[in-house]
Amino acid sequence: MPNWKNYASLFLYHRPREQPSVFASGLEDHISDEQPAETPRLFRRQKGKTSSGRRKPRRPRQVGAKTAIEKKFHLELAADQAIDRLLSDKTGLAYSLNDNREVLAKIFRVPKNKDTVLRSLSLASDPPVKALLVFIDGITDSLLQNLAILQPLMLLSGLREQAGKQNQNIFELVKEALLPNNQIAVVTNFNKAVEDILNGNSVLFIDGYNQALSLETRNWPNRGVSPPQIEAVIRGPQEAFTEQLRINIALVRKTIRQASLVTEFVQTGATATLQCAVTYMDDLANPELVQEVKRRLGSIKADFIQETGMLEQMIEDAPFYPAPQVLVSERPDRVAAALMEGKVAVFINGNPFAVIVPATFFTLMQSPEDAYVRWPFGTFTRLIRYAALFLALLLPAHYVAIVAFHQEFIPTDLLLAITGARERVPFPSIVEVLIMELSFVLLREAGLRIPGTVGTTLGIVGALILGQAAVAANIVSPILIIVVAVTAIGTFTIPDYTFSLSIRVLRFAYILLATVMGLLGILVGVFIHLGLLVSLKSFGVPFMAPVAPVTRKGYDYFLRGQVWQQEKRPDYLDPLKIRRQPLISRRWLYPHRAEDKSDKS
Amino acid sequence: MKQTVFLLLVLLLTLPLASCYDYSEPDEKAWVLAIGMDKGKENKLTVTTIIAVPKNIAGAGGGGEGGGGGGGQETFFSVSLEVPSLLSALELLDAVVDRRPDLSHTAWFVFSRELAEEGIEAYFAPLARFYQFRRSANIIICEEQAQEFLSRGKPILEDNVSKYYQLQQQAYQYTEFIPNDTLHQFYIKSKSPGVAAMAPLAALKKEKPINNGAPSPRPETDIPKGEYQAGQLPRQGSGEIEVMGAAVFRQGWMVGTLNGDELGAARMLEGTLKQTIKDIPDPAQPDTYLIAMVKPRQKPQIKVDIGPDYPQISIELKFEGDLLSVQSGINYEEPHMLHIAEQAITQSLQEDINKYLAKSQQLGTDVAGLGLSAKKNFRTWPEWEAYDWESKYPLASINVNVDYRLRRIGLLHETVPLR
Repeated sequence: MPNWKNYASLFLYHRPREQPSVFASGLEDHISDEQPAETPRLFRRQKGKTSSGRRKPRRPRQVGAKTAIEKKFHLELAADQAIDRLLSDKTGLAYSLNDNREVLAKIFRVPKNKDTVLRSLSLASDPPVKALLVFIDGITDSLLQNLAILQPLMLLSGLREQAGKQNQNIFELVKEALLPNNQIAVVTNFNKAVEDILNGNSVLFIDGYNQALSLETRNWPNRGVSPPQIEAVIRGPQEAFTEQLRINIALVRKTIRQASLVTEFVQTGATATLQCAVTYMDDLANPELVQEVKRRLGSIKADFIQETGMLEQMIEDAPFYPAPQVLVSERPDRVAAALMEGKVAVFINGNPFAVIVPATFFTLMQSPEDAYVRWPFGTFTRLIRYAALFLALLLPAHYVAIVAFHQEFIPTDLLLAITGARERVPFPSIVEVLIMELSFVLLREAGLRIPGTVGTTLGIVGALILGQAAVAANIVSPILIIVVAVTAIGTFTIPDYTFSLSIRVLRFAYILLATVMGLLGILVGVFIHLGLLVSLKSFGVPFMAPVAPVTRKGYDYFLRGQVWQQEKRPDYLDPLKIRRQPLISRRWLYPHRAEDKSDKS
Repeated sequence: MKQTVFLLLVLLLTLPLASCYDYSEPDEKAWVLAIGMDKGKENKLTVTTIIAVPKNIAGAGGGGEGGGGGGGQETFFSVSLEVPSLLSALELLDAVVDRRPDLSHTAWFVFSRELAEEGIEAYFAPLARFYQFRRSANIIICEEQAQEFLSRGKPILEDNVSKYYQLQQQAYQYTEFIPNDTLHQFYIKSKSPGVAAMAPLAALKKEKPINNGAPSPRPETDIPKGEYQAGQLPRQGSGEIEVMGAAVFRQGWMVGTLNGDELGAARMLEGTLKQTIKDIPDPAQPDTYLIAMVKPRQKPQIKVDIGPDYPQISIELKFEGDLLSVQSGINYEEPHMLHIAEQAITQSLQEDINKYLAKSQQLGTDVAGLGLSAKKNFRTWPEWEAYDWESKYPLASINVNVDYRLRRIGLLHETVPLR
């Protein structure tokens, strides 16, 4: 039995425990390795009372026991394990080319596997030296290989002329003088060689050397830079990220032409390692934040992470909280703006989205276009967006609460109209709302999954079901159609996709609360919701910053200020440079005062 | 973790305990839009409730066959019950009406004059206390039986009779003949010393229309429009109900009525008048009229001097307005003539106010709340209560000073005679 005294104490007043200030030390928790003396827990188990008494200890699996599958294919498994061991031990290359060839053939499952090409060649030397070029067909550029690797080595090397010289190091000669390739690296073990081959490089093995040359011949199939699909704007650049990591970073670098823009690569994942880039401004981002991001990314051991959404779930602070804790964007300009504030962006190869951390509530509600239009319109748009958030989250709940509990709120005229419209509807209001909300969710999901060619059918069916037929058949009242439609429009106004998903789900929780307790229920829900949000943190930054906890606010967290007012970077990021621009940005207005006062920071 | 989930489950399980208590659909309620109270025949009271018929008000709403809407179909029905008290009618209504009656949208509480003159304190008490009554509703005193008054009072322009009640009352914003007192103000004024309560006076159309065949002799002098009150309007057409003037109360008893002009003067003194139109006999040609808009220029300045025997009140009222019409064609627009018009209007306003003051002193009801300005002469509440303003007010000597300015002369800058 649980200890009821402990539960009862939850409802009593307790003096709040002394908490170290969040901003006393900049970014807090998780970064330092030292554990707090006492881990705060909701319930502390009574000492001397263990759970083993009432629970059956789980029987540990016998070590070494083999499943039927393992028994049946033990030969194949042994071979696989040998390969894994070879790679993980970072076994060095052999001197003999034939040995290397055999090992590589094993690793790449040649001749079963037809993708991997082991191209034998002999260098044009005297006597001819055997060499081997290994690459994967399809992800390499064959023209480049022909012209920049095979041709110089086999035809144009001039090795024959130098034949007489003694102690000739052919390997060094090939590396230094013979390969007109822009990136070249020396590989000494199989692990690195395999990794490079899988990344689209060609690796050249030369007989007699326990080293190999990794040559840049990458040619992944990729699409060009296209306009943004999800975060479309009217003003502003019309470029979005693509699936190529390098192109994505190049797009950011195109906007921020500064030497301090740093791209670090972190290997993430276990089974299939993932190329993951951490990008930040070296002179702005708080080093502890960068370190924390790298620490989280580097420590992930997972089977297969291929999408930012999966990565997001691996690195977020609180998986059970109903709000996204990272900002995902497909816009280079948005990433660039975040980097210039001192945030950190994470890219994954093969993914057209960047993850920006830390994220706060207010950044999730912003769109890049707010800054691109003049400030009154940016401000107005933001206000509209917050109103839309309110509608999307609470409008159906308020409809239920007011219609079913607080009819005195409604103007008499409207009340009689609602009543009159409801006369023929056989269901209670809550059932009506659920029917309409669910059919809307259904319609939305179907719209996403439907093949494009039959998409128009859905529009017709949806408009008929939601718009007209439901009313004509007396299933729902016409006023509810407006409520559901406004709610839907409100949901689509929220700029962050993940955030709007969470709003969409929470709406149902609010409807439930409103059904049970009316406006009081909504109020209780808002209290709990807000409590959760203010206790949430994204990479050490409070989610509701700079409102809770209160810190210095700029002119760009709730409303949008003038561009020349954006003088300081957000306080909650603790960037290395606080001041973004001088006090007087528009120096043409104050030509005489500009020199003496402005640069004080 | 496990314990947290357990606790959350326990908390979630408490939700169904509430089990949608109070959940009620609007179409399961009977919306009472007005309540009328008469002296009962079998019991103490006859309570009449006006209940909306939403399906006729909402028109074609709810489906194809409901078409036709309000035209011809009743948008409300009335139920009259003989009961000992107002709220007992609420219980008895359940026996008659299938839906649960709800009073939260009641706009009018109508008392018949007969009942009001016997005192409404006992019936009024639940209105202030019971949570379903909203304080923005109005108390209406009707000359006839409330039962007849309400059931005959069908709106012409509106489908929704509640809207009709509210709009009819809202005329206080642009006329002086209707008081703007809601249930709340009525209640506050009734229980405060220094001010008396009043309520809009309403009545059904006069039995005899004006042109009933035999030409009646027209009186020698014109009757000013403000001389009328509800039930006396010489009119033809429109609905049955008319609202004009006020019923004044003393200690919960209706003691008399104010006609339109008297009510206007009371509202000028009270400071609640927003605007009104005055027609004044032209000083040069008394059979033609000078018509002007009257708006307050500032709040009434009321000084009360508590004398040894009776209070002395001096009032300063400042108005302004536009010239709307000059029937005589005399150029009052000229700067040197303007003051003549101003003086005539000032004098007329002064007369109206004096008439009101005389009548209110005679009735002994200070509905304009002059006593509220006397209050500041006393240091403590018991002293003020002991002074007994209600008994002193009829004896007070009151000096009123009115100032009226014409600000604009309309779209004509001079009157040109027609040729």
